[in-house]
Amino acid sequence: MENILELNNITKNYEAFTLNQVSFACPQGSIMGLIGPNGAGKTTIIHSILDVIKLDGGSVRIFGKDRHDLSMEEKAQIAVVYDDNCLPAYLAAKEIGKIFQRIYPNWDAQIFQEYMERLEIPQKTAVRDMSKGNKIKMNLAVALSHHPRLLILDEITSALDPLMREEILSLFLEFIEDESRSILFSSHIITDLEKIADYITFINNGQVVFSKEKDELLYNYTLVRCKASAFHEIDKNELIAYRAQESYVDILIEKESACKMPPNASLTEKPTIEEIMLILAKGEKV
Amino acid sequence: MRGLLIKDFYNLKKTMTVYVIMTIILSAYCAFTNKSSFVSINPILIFSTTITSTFSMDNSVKWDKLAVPAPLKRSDIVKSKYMLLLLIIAVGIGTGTVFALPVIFTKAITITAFVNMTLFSASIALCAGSLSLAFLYITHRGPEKIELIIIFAYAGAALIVIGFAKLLNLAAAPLDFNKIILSLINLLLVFLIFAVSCRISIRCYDNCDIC
Repeated sequence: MENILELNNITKNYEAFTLNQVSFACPQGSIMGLIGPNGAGKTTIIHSILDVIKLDGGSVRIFGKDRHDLSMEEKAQIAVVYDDNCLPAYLAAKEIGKIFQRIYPNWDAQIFQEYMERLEIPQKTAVRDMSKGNKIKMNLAVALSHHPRLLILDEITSALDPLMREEILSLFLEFIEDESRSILFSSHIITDLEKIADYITFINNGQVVFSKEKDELLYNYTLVRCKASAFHEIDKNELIAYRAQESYVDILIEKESACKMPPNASLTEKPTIEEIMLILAKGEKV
Repeated sequence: MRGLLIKDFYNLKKTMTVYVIMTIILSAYCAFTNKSSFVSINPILIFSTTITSTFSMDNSVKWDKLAVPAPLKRSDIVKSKYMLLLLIIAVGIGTGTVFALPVIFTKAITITAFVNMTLFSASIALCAGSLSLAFLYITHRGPEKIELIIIFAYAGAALIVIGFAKLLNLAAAPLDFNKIILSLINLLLVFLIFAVSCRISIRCYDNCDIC
């Protein structure tokens, strides 16, 4: 499958933070979930992809081309929604539509109207007078109304109520039904990504911890929860990472290693992505 | 670039009322207090300050984070602001001319004085706008410093334009040039500042991180 987005060793240095040689790829027709704790570098990655910040190293390829070689028509096929409103705050839907019609050659006023209605966005209210959820929905309607092939979302679902989140997640699934499109979806709400993502990239301290197919993550790993007193009996060579709690230890292992765990390693279960992230980010890697 | 200009136009439309009221009051004051020659300059100078308001409005929502990934060149984003400055000054000149018509008809000022004052204030507005925009792009300063920028830009612009006028008067004294031609030359010199400012701003914006 062709990659719609490729990051190759991208590096960005700040005084207090470094995005260090980040590489991953998002195949066409898929949703890539970008997860990681606050300050891990998710937004910096998104800014790098969009050329909002200048890279100190590495390259970004979109639609198979270096980001800087994209034509205006290709740039028009990229859309982004941030976690806060970026649209002119004093304006309402009609005026915003007129602005973007003149910025995006592929702007579709009818689709914009349809999204406004489907997402129940007040059309005569200025953006600044909207609720946070409606602001995000308005930004999303704008992003989807110029027929993007690559949709980049930065923590947008946290401002939405569960019902609207559900609606928007189904909208994303519709979006990638056309297999030429992809979504890069950064989110804290990992359950959302568990529902819709095909791939998960986990970023911690400015580095990629893993970038894998979601199913591979969910089915290839096993979580073992054992008593702290029994932890020393476990062969450490079988572990990927572990996280010691007060009276027990959460251990992440390959599925095949589950049978090698001692019988008193009490509980063996399928981990959620959140549990995998927590053990890898906060625990000890072996 | 048209989309960016329309965005600024809509934004200004929402906030223009205060500026229009201020302009009318000041112009009326000038007309009724024997300061008729200042009637035409108020709209030009007051309207031109709104260029920095468009910056505040953009910054408050981090508009550039949407504009940079859009099918626009970074240089177009900068050029649109400079283009807007020219349009605002043109609107100011148009409004100033309308305001000045009664005082011209009543012969409170001569047409020469009106043209001279218009060219002079357009030069100050263009110079101040160019200085403000260059400062904003070079320093990446947000709206928190905008009032200071306006004060320094207009003070600096007045000094520059008056300085140019004095130099031109000195240089042209033996040639006995028409004052309007000297004002036009002054405006052309300010256009040079405008062009240099635009070029510097494009270079800075091309290489900067937006957030």
